[in-house]
Amino acid sequence: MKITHESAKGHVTGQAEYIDDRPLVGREVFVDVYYSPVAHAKILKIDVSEALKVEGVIAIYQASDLYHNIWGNIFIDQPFLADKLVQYVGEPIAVIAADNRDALMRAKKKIAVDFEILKPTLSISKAREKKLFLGPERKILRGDPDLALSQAPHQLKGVIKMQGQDHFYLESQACIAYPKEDGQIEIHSSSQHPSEVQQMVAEALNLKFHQVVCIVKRMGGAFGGKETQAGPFAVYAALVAKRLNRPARLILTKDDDMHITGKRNPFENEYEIGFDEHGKISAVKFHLYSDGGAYADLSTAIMERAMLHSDNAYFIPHMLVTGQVCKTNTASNTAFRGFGGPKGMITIENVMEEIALFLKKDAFDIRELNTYKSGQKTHYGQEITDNILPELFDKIRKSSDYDIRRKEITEFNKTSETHIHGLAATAIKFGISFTTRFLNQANALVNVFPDGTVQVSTGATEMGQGVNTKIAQVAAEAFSIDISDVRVMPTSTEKNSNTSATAASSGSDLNGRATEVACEIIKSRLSQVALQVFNRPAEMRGRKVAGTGTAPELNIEEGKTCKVIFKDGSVIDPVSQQKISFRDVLQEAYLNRISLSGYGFYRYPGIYYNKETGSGEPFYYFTNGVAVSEVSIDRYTGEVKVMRSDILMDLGRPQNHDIDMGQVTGAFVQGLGWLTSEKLFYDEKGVLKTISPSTYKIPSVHDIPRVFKVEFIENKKNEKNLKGSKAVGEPPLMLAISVWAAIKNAIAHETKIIPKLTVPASQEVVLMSLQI
Amino acid sequence: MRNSVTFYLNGVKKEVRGKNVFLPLSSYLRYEAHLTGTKVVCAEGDCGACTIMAAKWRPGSESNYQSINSCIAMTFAMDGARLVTVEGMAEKDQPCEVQESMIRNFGGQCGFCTPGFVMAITSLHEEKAKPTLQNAKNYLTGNLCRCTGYLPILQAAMDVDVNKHVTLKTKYPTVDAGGLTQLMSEPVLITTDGYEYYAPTTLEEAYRYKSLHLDVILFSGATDLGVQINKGHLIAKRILSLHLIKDLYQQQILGSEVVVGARVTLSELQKLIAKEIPTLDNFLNIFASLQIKNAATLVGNVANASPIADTTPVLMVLDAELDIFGKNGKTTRPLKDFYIGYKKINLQKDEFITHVRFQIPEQQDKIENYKVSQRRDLDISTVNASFNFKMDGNKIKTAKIAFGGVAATTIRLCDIERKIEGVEINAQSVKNIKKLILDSIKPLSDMRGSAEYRTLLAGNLFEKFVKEQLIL
Repeated sequence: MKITHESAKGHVTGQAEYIDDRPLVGREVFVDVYYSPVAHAKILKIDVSEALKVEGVIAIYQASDLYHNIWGNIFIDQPFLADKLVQYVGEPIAVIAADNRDALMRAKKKIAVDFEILKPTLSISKAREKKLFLGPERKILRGDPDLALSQAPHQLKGVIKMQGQDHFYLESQACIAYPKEDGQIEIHSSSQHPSEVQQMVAEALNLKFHQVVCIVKRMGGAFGGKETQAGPFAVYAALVAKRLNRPARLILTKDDDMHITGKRNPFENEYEIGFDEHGKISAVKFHLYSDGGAYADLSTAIMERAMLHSDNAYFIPHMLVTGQVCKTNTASNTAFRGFGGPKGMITIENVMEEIALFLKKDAFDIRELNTYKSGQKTHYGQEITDNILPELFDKIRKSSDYDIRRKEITEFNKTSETHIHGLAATAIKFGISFTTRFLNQANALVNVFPDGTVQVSTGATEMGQGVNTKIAQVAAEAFSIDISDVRVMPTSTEKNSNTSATAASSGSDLNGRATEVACEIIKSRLSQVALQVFNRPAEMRGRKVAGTGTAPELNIEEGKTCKVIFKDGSVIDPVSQQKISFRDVLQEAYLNRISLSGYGFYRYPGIYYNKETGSGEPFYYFTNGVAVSEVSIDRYTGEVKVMRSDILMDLGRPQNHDIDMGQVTGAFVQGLGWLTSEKLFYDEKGVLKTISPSTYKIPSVHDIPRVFKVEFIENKKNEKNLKGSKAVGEPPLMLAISVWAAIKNAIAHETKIIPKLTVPASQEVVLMSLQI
Repeated sequence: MRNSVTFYLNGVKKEVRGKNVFLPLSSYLRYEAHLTGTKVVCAEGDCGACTIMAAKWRPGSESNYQSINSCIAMTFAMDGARLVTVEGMAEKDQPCEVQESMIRNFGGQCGFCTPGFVMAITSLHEEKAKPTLQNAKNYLTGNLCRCTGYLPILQAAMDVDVNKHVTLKTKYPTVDAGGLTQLMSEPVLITTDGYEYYAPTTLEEAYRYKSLHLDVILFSGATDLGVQINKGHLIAKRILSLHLIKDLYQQQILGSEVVVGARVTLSELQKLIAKEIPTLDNFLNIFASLQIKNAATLVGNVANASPIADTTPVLMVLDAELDIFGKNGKTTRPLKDFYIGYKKINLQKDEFITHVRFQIPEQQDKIENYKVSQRRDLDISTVNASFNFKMDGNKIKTAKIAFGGVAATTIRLCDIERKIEGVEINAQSVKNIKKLILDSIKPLSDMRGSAEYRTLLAGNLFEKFVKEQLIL
C-alpha cells in the first residue's frame, strides 16, 4: 500500500497552511526590510523622517534598536542591520512596520541613506588578488602528489568555474512574531532550523532562550536556503513585535528575497592530474576557491564538504585538496542541497571526461578503471565498506544500452548537420552526516493517547521532502497501527529543544531514529503492562478497579525489554498467544499511572573528523548512485535538450519508495537547473539583475529528460541506518552532472579539442564553445 | 452606469466596489475573500502558483473555463467572469479527481505550487478530452515546481480518470442564469480615492474619455501592466477597459486576411489560425504560458512595443496592418513602420488600436519563426526571427525578414529583402546574406545574452531557416 505525503490532501485542496495564510489577528502589523542599493559603502547617514510620514507607517527600526546586532553560525561576523558599512546589494539596513502592505512599498522608497561608495569586490579572482578571505585555508593531503604528478606519463591541468544558484523555494522567507505575556515571543517561521531562530531572536532582543518559542508547521520549499538565513527575518519581525507589542508579519517578495538572501557558493577550482595511458589516475592536485559573499555563514563548512567530495567515486592514490573561501561584495552565500558536494564532485567528473578526450577513450571506461574498490580508503582516511559502486556502474552500462547508444551517437554526429549528440555517465558517493560532529543529534517526543492515536514531535522540519511522513511511518510501524492514527506535529522548540537544522540529508535518519527510540521506551512499558494484565483476571483489570482502588497497581521497570509483539493494533504474548488490543493496553497503562509519553534521543555513533589535519571518518555511511544522460545540441542556437537520463541509486531499503522517487527526480532536475539554465547575472556594480522567474530560469516541465528512468538497486546489506534505508535528500542532485558531462562530450565531438565548459553550460556558453 | 464589477467566485455572485476593484485579483482572493489556497510567488505571471480558472465574459457566445494568473489579473478585469479557485474544486471535503490524482501520484512535495498545478491540470482536462503527454506539458508550461522534477505531476495529469472527472463547466455552468449579459450592456464607472475605472460600451465613448484624459491607461489582459503595478513601477490611477465593446472581440478569417480585435487573446488567435498558419500555431506553443495566452491579447503584444515581443516579427513578415481609432474615426497603419524607437510607437495620445489584420501565407511559401531564449519555454527571447520567402526553384522570388532582440525595436529588413530578390540559394549566397543581416543589426549586451551571442544567433537563425526550409 502506498503511503502518500501526510499533507497531500491539504496541499491539493489549498487547505495546507503556510505563514502568510495565517489569518490576521487584531492589531497585526506588516513588516518589510529596507536594504542597501549599493554593494560596498560606508553609511554616513540614514534618514527615515520622510518614510515615517507615509500614511500607515508606524515605526522604523535600525541597528541601534537591537540589543545584539551580530550573528553567524560558524563565525559571528554578520550584522542583522548594517549601520556603518554595507557589504552587498540587499544587505538589510532598516526594518519598517506599517498597518497596511501598500505603505511598506512607499516607505521603502522614502528612506534616504548617504553612502560613501567604496570599490566592490565582485569575483573570486579579485578577492584572491586582494587576499580577501573568510576563514583559514584548509588542506587534505595523502601521499606525495607532486612526485606522483612528475612521474605520471600524462598530465592535464585547468580551471573549472561554477556560478551560484538561487534556491528559488516557492515560498519566500516568511515569519510572524506574536508577543506573549511577560516578554515572551512566539515565532512562526519558514525555517529549517527553529532552534537557531529561537536563539538568534533571544540574543538579538536580550531575551532568555526560554522566553522565545519558534514553531515551524511547514515550509514552501527550502533547499538549504532557510537553514541559517531564515533567522534574521525572524529577528526583524520579533523586534517589531516586542517594541510595538503587536503581532508582526514579514513576508518577502521574491524579488527582495533574491536580492537579500545568499545562494549556492560559486567556485573556481584549479586542477592538475597525472594518469597513465589507460587512464588510471595516480595523482591529483585540487585548489578549491569559493565565493562566500560578504559574510562567512556556512561557507567554510560547505568548502569542507567540497574537499571531502573531490574524490567522489574514485580512488586517487596521491591527492592534495586545498580549500579557501573568498570574501566578495555579494549576498552571503549559504547552504544549498548538496552543500559542497556538487562542487567537489563536478571537479573530478570533469577530469574523467578530460582524460577520456585526451586519450581518445570512452569516459565510462576511465571511470570504471578508477572506481573505489572495497577496503580502499578515501583521501581523508575513511575506509570504503559495503561498496556498491562497481556494481552500479556495471548495471547501468547494460540497462541504459550505453555501448549501443555510444556507437549510434558517433554515427549520428558524423552525418547530422543540424544537431550534435553527447553521452556521459557520472556517479555519486555522498557522505551522510554533518561533518561537524555535534550536529548529529536529534530528539523526539512521542505522545500516545488512550484511544490508540499518537502524536510525534521532533526537531525535523517539513519542507516537502516527506520527513513527517517517514517519521509517521516509523511510529506506525513501531506500534503496528494504521498510519492515519499517527500525526506528526508542527516542529516547536517548546517540545524539542536544542535541535539541529533539518539538513545534510539526515533529517529522516536522525529524527526517525529518535522517534524509534521514543517508541521503544513506550513499548517497553506497554509490554510489561500487557504481560501483567494477561496474568490478571478480567475483573482485576484497571478499568474495573481503578475507581475503587481494590487492586494493587501494576509496576514496571524502565528500560526493561520483554518479548511481546505489537501487531495490527494488538499486543501479543508470543509464548501464551494471549492478546490485548493496543487501545486496551493503553487504558490499562494509564489507569495504572504509567506514562504514555516517550522522549527519545539519538546520535550517529562513532563519527569524527579533524578539520585541521583533514582526516577522520566523518561519514556514517555513503549514498551511492549513477546516471547516464544523453543530450542533443542545436548547432545553430546552442539549445540543449536532454534526450534521456537513466538513474540507478542505492537507497538501501527505501522507507517510502514513492517519496524517495520524488526526491530523486526533484533533486536531479534542480541540479539540471544549476548546470544548464540558471544564470545569476550581476551588473558591474554588483546588482543582481536576475531576481525573479522572468529572468532567472529554473527548469520548466519541458526541460526534464524526454526519457527519464529512475530505478533503485536492491540493497539489503545496509543495516546501519534507520530501517535499512539511506538518505536521499541531496545526493541525486549531483547525478545531473551527467547532463553537463554529456554536453561537454557533445561539444568535443564537434570541436575535436577538450572544451572548457562552465557551470551553467547555458545556451550562450554552449554556442560560443562550438565556435572554434 | 454601473458602479461595481460583478463576477461569480466558486459559484457565488460577488459585486465589488470601491478600492478593492483596483487590487490584483490574487490579493482580492487571499486578503478580501480569505481564499488563501491561491499562492503568490513571483507576482509577475511567471510561476503559476496563483493559477485559477476563469470563464471570461464574451459577447454572444458561451464562455469556457481557462487558466489565468490571478497575480497579474486585476480585479476590475473580472467583470462578467466566472472564477473558480482551488477551494472550489473539492466537493464537501472530498477532493475532486484531479486532486485525487495529484495525491496518489505524489504530485505535491512542499505543496506551495500544488494548488496552481491542480488548476492547470484542470484546464488541461477542461479542453482536452484525451490529452497526450505533449498536451499535458503544454498546459503545465506556466507552472514552476522546484521540488518534484515535474515527473510525478505529469503522471498525475495523465492519470486523471476521465470517467470520474467532472468538468468545471458541468460543476459551475456558464450559461447565463444570473443576467450577466444584461449587466454587460451597461457601462461601468468607479471613482474612489483618486482612482477611476471606466468601461464604456462603444468606441466613440472610449475615444471621448481617452481624449479627455490623455494619461489614461488602457487595460486588457494586464499581463504586462499587472507586473508593473505589482513591482511598484506603475501606479495606475485612471483606467480604461474596452471589454464591453463588442466590435473588439472580432476574430475572423476574411479571404486571405486574418482580422483580430483588441479583445482577442493569444489563445483565441492560436485556435483561429491553427489550420491556416500551422507555423504560427507551433510558434505560439513556445510563446509564454497558457495562463498568459489566455489573458494577453495580440493587440497588447503589438502596442507594448517591446523589442523582444514574440508576435511582432511574425506579424511583420505577414504584412500586418493596424486599425487605429482616433480623431477621424478609423485609420490604418502598416506594422513595419509602427515602431519609431525603443518602446516608442506611431500612435497619438488619444488614439488606440482596435484591430490587427495580417495575411495568410500561400501554401508554397517558405515561412518559419524562431525564438531563442535561455529556457525554451516561458522565457523572454534573447533573439527572435521570422522569415517568409517565396521561391522560384532555388531562387528567391520575394523575401520578408524580421528580427527581434537585435535593435531597439523589432525590425523588418526591407533593404536586404529587395537586394536578395532573384538570388540563388547556395553556400556562397547564404554567407553573403548572413553578412548583410549582421551588418544591419546592433544588438546590446544584457542579462539575456551578450551582443556577440546575439549577433551570432541572428546569422545562425537565417542559416537554420535555409537548412530547414529552403534546402530540402
